[in-house]
Amino acid sequence: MARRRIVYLTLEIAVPLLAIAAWWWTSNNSTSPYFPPLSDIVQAFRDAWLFRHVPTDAAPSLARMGAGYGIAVVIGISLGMVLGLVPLISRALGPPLEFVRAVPPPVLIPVAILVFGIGNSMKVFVIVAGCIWPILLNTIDGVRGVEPTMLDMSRSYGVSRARHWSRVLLPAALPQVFSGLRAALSIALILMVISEMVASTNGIGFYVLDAQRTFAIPEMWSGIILLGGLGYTLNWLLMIAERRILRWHRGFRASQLAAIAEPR
Amino acid sequence: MLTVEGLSKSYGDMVAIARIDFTIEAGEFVCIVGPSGCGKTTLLKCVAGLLAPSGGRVLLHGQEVLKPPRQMALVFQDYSRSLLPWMSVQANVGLPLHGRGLSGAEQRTLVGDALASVGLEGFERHYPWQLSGGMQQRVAMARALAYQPEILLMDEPFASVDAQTRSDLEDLLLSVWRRLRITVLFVTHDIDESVYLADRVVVLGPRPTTVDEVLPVGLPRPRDQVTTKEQSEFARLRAHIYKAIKRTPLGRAAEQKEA
Repeated sequence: MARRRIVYLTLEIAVPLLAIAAWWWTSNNSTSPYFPPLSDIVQAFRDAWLFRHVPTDAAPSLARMGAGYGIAVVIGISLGMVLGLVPLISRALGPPLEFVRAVPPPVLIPVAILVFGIGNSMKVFVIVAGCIWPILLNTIDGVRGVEPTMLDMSRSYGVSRARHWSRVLLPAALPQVFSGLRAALSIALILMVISEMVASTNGIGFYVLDAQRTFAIPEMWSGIILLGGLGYTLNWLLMIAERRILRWHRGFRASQLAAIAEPR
Repeated sequence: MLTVEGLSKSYGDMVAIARIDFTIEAGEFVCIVGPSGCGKTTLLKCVAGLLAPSGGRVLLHGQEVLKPPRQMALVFQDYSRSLLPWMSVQANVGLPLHGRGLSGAEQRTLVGDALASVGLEGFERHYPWQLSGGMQQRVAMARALAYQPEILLMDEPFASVDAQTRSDLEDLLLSVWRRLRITVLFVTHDIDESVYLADRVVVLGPRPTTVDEVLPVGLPRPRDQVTTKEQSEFARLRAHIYKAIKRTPLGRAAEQKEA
């Protein structure tokens, strides 16, 4: 067991390092303007992102994404809990919600430009409009799936409404909510980039497109690498948060599986 | 103290409970026993105010029960679903104590006393799922006791633990009942358990459910798993209820299914 873990850990570190080394080697003598040597890209990355363009491009991008994702989380979870509790509403809203959700979010950009112009509110709106759906629908499902016995318990013990929502319903729905949060995070990143590519004067998406247009190819690649690293880091942070918040869930599930495997 | 008057419950055309009448005096230990599928849980939910009866009513101190009353605490069969797995034992027991004008110290005292009375001191910070089934059901009992009810309603509370744990829990319940002088309404499908625990046993018939008979249990207290069950009166009552339940069509069906 311990040995297998060491092997896995070694592989997890070694494979990315090998991939980088392979890239470095194969691109080392590259003369192609589109695929410059990795050393050039690293140089460009250092010039741009340590830290000259951080306040001018990275920070605005992160702020838009943070605002959009944050608003989507708050609205998605609170609306989802209300809708999930009223079967009639969630039934009636089901098909329209699925339709709105099926509309590819980038197509909202032209509409958003008409309404909000090309400023930050347009980008935040597009991010909210795109990533609210997985959160909303998963929260509805999560709340609907709460054990009826828990609801009976809460009611028979006269648990106050506020505590019922915060201590019973929300935690019970959280495992499902988190799968919505994970899906929404990658959508938020995508929409942040797209909205900045379509209409913007700053941001990482704008930087990448602008670099491409001015034939600053290493700079373009450096932006792409930054976005990859950003997505990876944000996912990792969310995973850490989920592990901490849902620690009970893993223990509970393990105990339930053990109970099935060995009936008391 | 508690009166069930002509209570009936139907779902559409399906009559689950035809008519049930019985009363419980303060301090009594009453068991409801009946064949499986006879609507025992439905009856208990109506008594608890969780389910509106289709006819008749439940009276607590002469007041009709329309919603879960403050004086009742419910212990469910399935502890793994009635305890909240995201809360510690302490938080689970303390959950119903908020919003009652108690200070934090008073709440902690109630929780501590309740856990002590079921022998779970030292497990405050555990999660329910880290405990054995019997201990989890004791947490659920502690939650009910900390709520300080007049009546404890129990829905087959010991049906999903092993036999040894089950007799331990029965004796624990009896000692708590004697010490706190509360009233207990205990639903079970286990005839031995009902005779061992109760002052009176309400025997239910098959669906559509009515009360077959109400049987007083004259066995002396305190009861003991060995000496009480050795008495001829225990055997007589047990055989009597056994025949009553097996006489019913559902009882026979269950018998055939087991055979």
